[in-house]
Amino acid sequence: MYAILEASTENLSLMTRHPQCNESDLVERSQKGDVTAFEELFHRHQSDAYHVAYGIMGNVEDAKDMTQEAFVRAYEGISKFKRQASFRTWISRITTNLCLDEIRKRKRRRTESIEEHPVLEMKPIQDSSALEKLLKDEQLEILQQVLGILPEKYRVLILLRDIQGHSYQEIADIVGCSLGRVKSRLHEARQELKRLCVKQQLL
Amino acid sequence: MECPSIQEQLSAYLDGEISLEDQVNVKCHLESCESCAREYEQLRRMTQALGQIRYQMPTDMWPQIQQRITERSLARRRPRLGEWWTPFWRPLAAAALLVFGALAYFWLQQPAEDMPLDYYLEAHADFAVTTSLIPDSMVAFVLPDDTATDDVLWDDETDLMLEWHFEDN
Ligand SMILES: [Zn+2]
Repeated sequence: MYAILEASTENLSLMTRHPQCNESDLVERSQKGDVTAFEELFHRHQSDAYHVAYGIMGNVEDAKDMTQEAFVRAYEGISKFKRQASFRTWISRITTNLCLDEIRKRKRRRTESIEEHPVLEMKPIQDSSALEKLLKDEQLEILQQVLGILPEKYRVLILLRDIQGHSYQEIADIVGCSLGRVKSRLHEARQELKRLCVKQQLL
Repeated sequence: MECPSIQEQLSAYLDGEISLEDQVNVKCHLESCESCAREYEQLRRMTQALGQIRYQMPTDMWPQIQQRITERSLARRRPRLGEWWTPFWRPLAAAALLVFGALAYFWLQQPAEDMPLDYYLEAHADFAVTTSLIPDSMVAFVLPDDTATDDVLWDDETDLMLEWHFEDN
């Protein structure tokens, strides 16, 4: 019995990577140039970066590219991370910065190329273990589509708050604005989303 | 309190992001006002449904990240020329290189004999702009320092920019 447990330890640690490492160890090791430690940070926080990127860019391809670039920049500038904020907040903020920058660049270039409409690109996976679903799968899919047509400035707040579960202070740190602004803009965002939901007979 | 001011607070009330005093006010109002209670219920149901959405992550992001990290660290190592390459010499060397480059450029493309020099320079005015040594990606982006989270990144102008981006899509 013991032997089996021991034999499977290696596989287990490969699967779950470094569950025993706390975050500040991983950051410290990354700062010394340990790429495997940084890879673990990536696995823990890729969804934080990705949700921000998707919220702002509105399509899978750009969101993926921005997420990757954010982690490259984070690795290169990890010495600047002073642990005042959590790594989660920091990587989300880098992603916000990069995405806004990218959009600014595109605006400058004013590319005439036809871009794909961002709506309906992401398919949601429903949490099958949730016993109490308020909406049926079908309705969840419509909600997803409605979220896709919400303006970026609103969608990113909804993703940060309602899907990623960040606090208002964390959102303020990530998008770089005041707490009061997060409060008022999130209110606006939800009002707009609610209006669209009512229109789609979701509420 | 009036209904409009209550409804403005419902979103933050739902998130537990208002003062205790306001919480009590809103709670009392919701118990006695049917239309605000309905409004609140809609908001609550909507956010709960949003919480059930799980986005599928791309599965293959790390290899490309690792590749970019390696490529760029190699690219940065290349210009290291030795001990004399101190921060003091760097700007001087860069300036010398620029002057040399500009001279070589103008020498290689000597103006026609009858073309006045300042006319010629004007015709090549975009030289300095187009031959920037700094990659485009490095110009505007500044890696945030997590100690300075109070920088304003997102303001009304950002909203306008995103609106533009949105209409463009
Ligand atoms: Zn009321």
